[in-house]
Amino acid sequence: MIDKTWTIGHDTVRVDAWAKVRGEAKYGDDLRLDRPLFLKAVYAEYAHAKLIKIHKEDALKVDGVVGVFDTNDVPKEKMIGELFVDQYVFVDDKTRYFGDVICVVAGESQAIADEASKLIKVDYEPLPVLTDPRTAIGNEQVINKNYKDNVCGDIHAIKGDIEEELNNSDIIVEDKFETDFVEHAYIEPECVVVEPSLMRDELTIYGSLQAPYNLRISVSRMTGIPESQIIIKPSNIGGSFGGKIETAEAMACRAAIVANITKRNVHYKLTREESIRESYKRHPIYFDMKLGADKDGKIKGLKVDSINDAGAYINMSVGVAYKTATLGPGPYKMNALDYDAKAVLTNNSHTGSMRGFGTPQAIFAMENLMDELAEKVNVSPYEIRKRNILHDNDITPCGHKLDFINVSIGECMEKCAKEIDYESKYKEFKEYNKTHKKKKGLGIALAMRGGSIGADGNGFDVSRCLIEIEPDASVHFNIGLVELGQGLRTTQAMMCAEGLGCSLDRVTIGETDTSRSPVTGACIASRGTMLGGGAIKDACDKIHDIIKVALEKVNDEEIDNIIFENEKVTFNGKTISFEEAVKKCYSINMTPMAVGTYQVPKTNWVPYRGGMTGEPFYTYTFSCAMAEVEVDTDTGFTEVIKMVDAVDMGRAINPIMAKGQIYGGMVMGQGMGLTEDLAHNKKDGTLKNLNFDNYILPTFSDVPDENVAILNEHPDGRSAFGGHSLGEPGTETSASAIACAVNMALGKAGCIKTLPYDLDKVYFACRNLEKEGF
Amino acid sequence: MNNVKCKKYFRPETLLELKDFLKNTSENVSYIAGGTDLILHAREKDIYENNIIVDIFNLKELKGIKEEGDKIVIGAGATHTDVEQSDIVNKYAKVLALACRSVGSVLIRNHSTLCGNICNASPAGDSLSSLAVLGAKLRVLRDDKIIELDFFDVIDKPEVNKLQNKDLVVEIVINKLDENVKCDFFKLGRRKALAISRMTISTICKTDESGNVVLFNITCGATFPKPMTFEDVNNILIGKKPSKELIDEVAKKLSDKIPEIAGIRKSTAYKQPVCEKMVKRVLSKMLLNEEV
Repeated sequence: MIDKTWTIGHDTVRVDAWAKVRGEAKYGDDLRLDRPLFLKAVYAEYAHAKLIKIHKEDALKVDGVVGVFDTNDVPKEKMIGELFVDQYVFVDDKTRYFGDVICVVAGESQAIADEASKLIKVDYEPLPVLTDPRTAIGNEQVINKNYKDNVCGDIHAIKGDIEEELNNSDIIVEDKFETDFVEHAYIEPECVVVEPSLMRDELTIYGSLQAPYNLRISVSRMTGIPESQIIIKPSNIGGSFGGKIETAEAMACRAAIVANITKRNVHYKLTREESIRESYKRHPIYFDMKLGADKDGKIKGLKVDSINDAGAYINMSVGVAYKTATLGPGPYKMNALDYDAKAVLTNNSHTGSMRGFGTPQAIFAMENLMDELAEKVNVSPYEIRKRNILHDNDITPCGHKLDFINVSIGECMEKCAKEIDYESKYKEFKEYNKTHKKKKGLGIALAMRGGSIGADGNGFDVSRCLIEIEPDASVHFNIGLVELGQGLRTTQAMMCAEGLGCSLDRVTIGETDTSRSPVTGACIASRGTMLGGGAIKDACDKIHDIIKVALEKVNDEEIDNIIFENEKVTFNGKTISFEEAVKKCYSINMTPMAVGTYQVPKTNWVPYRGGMTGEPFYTYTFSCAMAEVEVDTDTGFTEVIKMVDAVDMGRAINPIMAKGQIYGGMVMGQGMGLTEDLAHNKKDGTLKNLNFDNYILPTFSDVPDENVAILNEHPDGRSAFGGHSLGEPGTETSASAIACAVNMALGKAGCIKTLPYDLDKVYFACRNLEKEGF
Repeated sequence: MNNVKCKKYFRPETLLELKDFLKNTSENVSYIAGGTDLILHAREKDIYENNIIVDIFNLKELKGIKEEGDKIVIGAGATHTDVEQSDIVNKYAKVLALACRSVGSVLIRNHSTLCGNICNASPAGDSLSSLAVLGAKLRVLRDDKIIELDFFDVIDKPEVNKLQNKDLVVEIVINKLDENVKCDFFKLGRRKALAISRMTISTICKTDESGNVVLFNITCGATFPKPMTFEDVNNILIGKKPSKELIDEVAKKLSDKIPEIAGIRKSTAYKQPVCEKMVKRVLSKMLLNEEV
């Protein structure tokens, strides 16, 4: 690992900053291809119904309508999916949720397609609708015939003997918690644009596409066109947070089918309402928890049964269950763990990747339970955590010995406590709340996040890139990890410069283009920095070898050791410039170009007592968030006064943007914690709040100016450039910290058991507490 | 406007041009000022397909806020920002300035008009409870003549006003309050900006030298199908010295109006008690200088 750095670790202006702030950057819907067809989808009227007949005649009569396309127009495979192929891009046999697409109308203008789509009539035979995963388990109504009991995944993380530990505990804390659907709320609704080649059987696909290589597979499978002739060029993307994978993929498949049949360019965008209706969401998860501790509050064992609502398609639900089960227990020491995480199909919106991926929900449940434990032991929430957190060389709840990393969770907690002045405020608020209706609270939430995918992806967690140094010593760098607004292209370019030993000015990072960048895993799972970094390092090392051989040939000498650093190349007691080294390489027609590959080493995750145990991840990020709130007990309104979030992301490659990710993460958690509610209808599986008038995101006025992001860096020896995960750690704790703070304000740990803590819920909780004599 | 379906879009340069146009048309007319409601309505449903949309936002004659003796006259083109920042309104009808400051966000307020907030007739309109306690009147251009209508008579029911086709509200008229009148505006939303009101409470109150209430008007918004004030509520305090008991009585009586008038709805269990608590909070602070 690198000690002294020249580019990484220094605040750097993002490479796309000017184009974006000037409004010049092109997003999917900005693309204007020649005479495109515009698509409009017809959505399912029932969340669960047999599709009997689609009446297209009236729509087809509309002037300017080119066609109406449905499942019968899919030439090859009809389903897509990253891990489980179970999602129809057009309804085939039956509808499974209210965002399913029956067909698309293609018209010469958006207005024509929109109008004609209203003329499509569909005959259905309604089926019973399952909207609660708890009752869906074993229900006679089966959503996917391959999963007879509707359970599509079951992850069981186990360590030690849970029954024995619970039996030997002095204190038992038991509780149940629930979370709700959460929308990603990216500012840019999905848009895809497809351009068929008139030269050969080839499609180029642009737009808001988070996972280009997965998409390529799906389009290939649907159309029969080989992957090399499906070119994905994601446009600038206006936010994703995990949300522009399967939905955008289904859209791209529909558009690709239309483009392939008509040989016309196709433009297909969603309105906000369509986006919220069709796109997948964060999983609602139901937790049933039991924790045993000794009389001092030291945890002995934790038993959890959790059920996530996968919705209509499996999507990432099993992977999400994996993270819930393995990371849900938090950064705490315990002798035994029995954490079961089931994924269950229903007729709700399907649920998939969203920043946090099954942990914000689990942390909400776990941290509330920790506060309840603190209350029983009669110590502060801070003290109970201090007694239980992991340290260097400790073994995690899943059984992973942490002898390779700084276990900095204690430090993160201390830094947050100092910043928010926890100790004195905690005492002060307890007194203050006795006499005030607007009550104050502090909340803490801790997390350990696995870097990248984890052992459920053992063997396929890989990344690749292509670096080419041109004859003038400028560098062209191609990587398939997509910029989603988080600043990835800048950090990747910085690592490329650092790895090559040249200045950042030399590096051009090309727009992601699957025809130029080698296949790589997607920009998901907070893996871009660690996985991209690994591939970049490999490519840089290979290029250094090429230049070394070239210099040996040109100078006719053997080189033992060669150092590329800060625009200089040093070998055999000589120092030449980077540019000179490159020129020498080209002078004998050698090519300083390489493909880098990095694979996360397999970890030891093994069967044990009917579940799995061991090393669920290769490395970890530790983080702590604290929140200060004021709750108006007369109205239920919660004001966030200040939040602090300390994250150990290994090394912050671009510190100023790392802080930006944390600041954004806190706000995202604030929405999940307090206001964001899609108004899921438990009778018919629909969502009522389809736009941001009623789906309440925090505004600038709601976000405290006082928020603080703390970079608690300890470069990770398991990552090429020292940085591991940050994207998800930035947000996974904040909703929980706020929830715990509200419950402290109300005077009862774990008081409100479901998210979000909106006006009405907090108000009625206050009234119930009054009845109980609080 | 490209996406709004309508029979015709017309933007007069002067009020005179508009008057001429109105004389010669028998079509349905919809007025657009800031557009913060109309554009959204049009996006959801094609309700203006058979209407002529007349854009009055640029009519200079409708801009401005002025004094007319003991009255404040607010032009129909005045934005919420104009009203919020008007010295006249802040001096003589502070409750309205406060209400306008609670609308949407700065960007919305810079474009949306107070008159639009009235004519749109949404029960959640932020300004309506303040206009109710101020007893606003509207000057309306009808058949080439200006008539004056009572604000309460113009709003009929949720999202419906009683204006006739082509009627154009040109001015909002408010009786000036004495500078000693205390004003309060309370808004409860799910967030601090861009929040649809769950409840507003507007209060104006004046006491004489001996501490007796001589003027009192309080009502809430986003709770009734149309703006309303209640004599029986106000009479509890008028002529009396404020006390905790009287404030409690006002709070009880006003909050009881919610189920009485709007019926028992899903939100009543929340709104009724919160209204009672908030009225107590507002009045205790205003009249007894006490935090409750």
